[in-house]
Amino acid sequence: MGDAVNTIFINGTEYPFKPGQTVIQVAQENGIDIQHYCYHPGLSIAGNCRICMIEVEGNPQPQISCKLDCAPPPWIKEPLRVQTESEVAKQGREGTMEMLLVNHPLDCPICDQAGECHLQDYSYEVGQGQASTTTAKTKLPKNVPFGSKIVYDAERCIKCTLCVRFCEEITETNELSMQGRGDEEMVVMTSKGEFDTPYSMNIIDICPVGALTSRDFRFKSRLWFMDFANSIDTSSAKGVNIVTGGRNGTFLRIEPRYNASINDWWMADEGRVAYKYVNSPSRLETALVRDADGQFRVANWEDAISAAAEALRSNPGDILLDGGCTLEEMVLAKDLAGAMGKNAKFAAATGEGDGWLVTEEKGANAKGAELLEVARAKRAQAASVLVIEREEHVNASMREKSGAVVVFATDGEHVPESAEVVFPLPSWAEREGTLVNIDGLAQWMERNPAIGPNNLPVFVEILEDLIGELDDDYAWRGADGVRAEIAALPAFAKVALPWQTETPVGAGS
Amino acid sequence: MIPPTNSAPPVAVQFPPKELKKECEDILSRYPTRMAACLPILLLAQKHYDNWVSPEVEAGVAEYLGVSDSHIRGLLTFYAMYNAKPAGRHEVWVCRTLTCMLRGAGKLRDTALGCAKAKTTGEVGEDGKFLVKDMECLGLCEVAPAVFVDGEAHVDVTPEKLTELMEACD
Repeated sequence: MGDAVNTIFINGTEYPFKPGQTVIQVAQENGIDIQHYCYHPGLSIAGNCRICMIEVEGNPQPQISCKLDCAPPPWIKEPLRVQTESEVAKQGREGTMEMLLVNHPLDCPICDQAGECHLQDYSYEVGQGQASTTTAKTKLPKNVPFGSKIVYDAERCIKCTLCVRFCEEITETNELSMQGRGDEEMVVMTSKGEFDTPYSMNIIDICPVGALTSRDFRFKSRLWFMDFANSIDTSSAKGVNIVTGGRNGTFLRIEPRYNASINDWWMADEGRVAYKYVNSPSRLETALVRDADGQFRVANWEDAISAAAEALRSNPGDILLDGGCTLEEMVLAKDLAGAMGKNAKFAAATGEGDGWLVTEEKGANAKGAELLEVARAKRAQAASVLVIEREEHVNASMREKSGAVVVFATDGEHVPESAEVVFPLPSWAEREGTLVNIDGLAQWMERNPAIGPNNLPVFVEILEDLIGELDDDYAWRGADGVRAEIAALPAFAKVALPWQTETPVGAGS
Repeated sequence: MIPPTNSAPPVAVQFPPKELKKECEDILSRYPTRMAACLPILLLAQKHYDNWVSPEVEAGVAEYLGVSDSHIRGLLTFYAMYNAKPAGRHEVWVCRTLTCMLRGAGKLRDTALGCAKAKTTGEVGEDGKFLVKDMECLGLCEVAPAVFVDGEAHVDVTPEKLTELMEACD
């Protein structure tokens, strides 16, 4: 037997590999980018797009790197030597690219994928700019609905079969299949009926071109006008890593972000559309204080804070928090309640879970609340301060029964009758902070500046100001001071806090 | 408004029917996995059910072989010799690969379509008599152009000869 070869030379540098790894995997691990469409680290290897061509020294023809085992055949005792940028490799990719573009429509200006399209990127790198074919492009169906959330364009499709493999291997529902062959090949929904898996929209992300687009997002915005932030899905307690995308104050889309310990590359459709309320026309943008004649009038922050302190002094009571509040906000809410000699409670909905990325618990920070010893509120919880972002956590009857005088609300529709002072609450996408998911993993939620109304006050700062008004001895700590306190709590001794450790960076695409 | 995508899922037929049972088992015994036997079993099913594989038969075969409907659908549409749509009483295959095309298969295709009263290949003609299909290389290049009528090879075919052949079908 002897020693098996366990290294490979890529572009002249020697890299170790684990048995079973293919060249593209080792290259990606070491920061060497090889173009690919049909390869996805989370799915089986199909090897049908042919764009990942590399040169294997000693072979006259280029080979695909996604399916090429790093281990040489047993009779060769030398490590493989491959070149990703040599003339042979480049010619291979150029030829493949020309074939991929033979029937691809040139509709980038109206295509939603433009800006994040791999076909666009790679054709910029290895495209010829001039086709050697002169025949007309094949006409195929466009605007084909795949269920109610996805639209398929067979002309843009490059037949990488990623979506088909996703339905076979991840959801195991087999809704999609490849039909036909050659230039008339396309993805079709099989006779099973609706494309209704709750994870269906993941195929939009993995589609390397604009063949699969989201009915929700299409034609809303060009990518390069949008701002993105790494955030956490708050529609469920799993803590799915996401990227929020917004433009000019409008929340436009949510896409999953790789995290090996929670969601890999995927997310549920439920979380993807959980942003609609952020764009509500009845969003609060100013502080409101109730007049002597019972009408709300707009107030500046200082007046509103002193009015709120006044209302709380004459009306001390518990604080009812939305289950999506961050750790920092919960700590300060506890302190505010403490200044009144009361408690902070949180309310969060429960619903159906699927045992994977949708949990029964819907409060994104329910576990964090447990660690901070913030109790779950009763159905009819009397409170003097109400923090309400999501309708489902604190429903209308709970809001009215609370009798809260100071209300932090995202949407003006959610303000109960009893409110004396109302502060606008930025939505989760506009706040930053720490959330602890149901498995006890603390994660950092980034603020997206392109979402929500301008100039909203920072929630934690208003909370601190309120505590300061009620408690003369209060020393301002700031969010960083609060975080230091959280880190010192015994309940958090075993929790890796994201601002202490380096944020895990995904190796996926 | 989103149009309804598909009607109710098809009801799978009981597959294999009694008369095919032995043959199916015989085929299965020759392959390492059930999935590997997809192609011969599908051919068998097509022959048995009026020369085409309906969604119901497709579901039945999928169930029998333990693969998904979508896998079977992919095979049916990839391979030219399966019919996923109702077929005519007679089937005419015209080769469209290089040698035959150079020797006049294009004219044969037009002739066949004319006789079949069909607009395009792959569709049954108006009277339901003929189904004309384009075929990849039929393996008779040395005597091109080649045409198969109901599975029977005819070589060195001319449009006149093809018309004669098709008119002879009842």
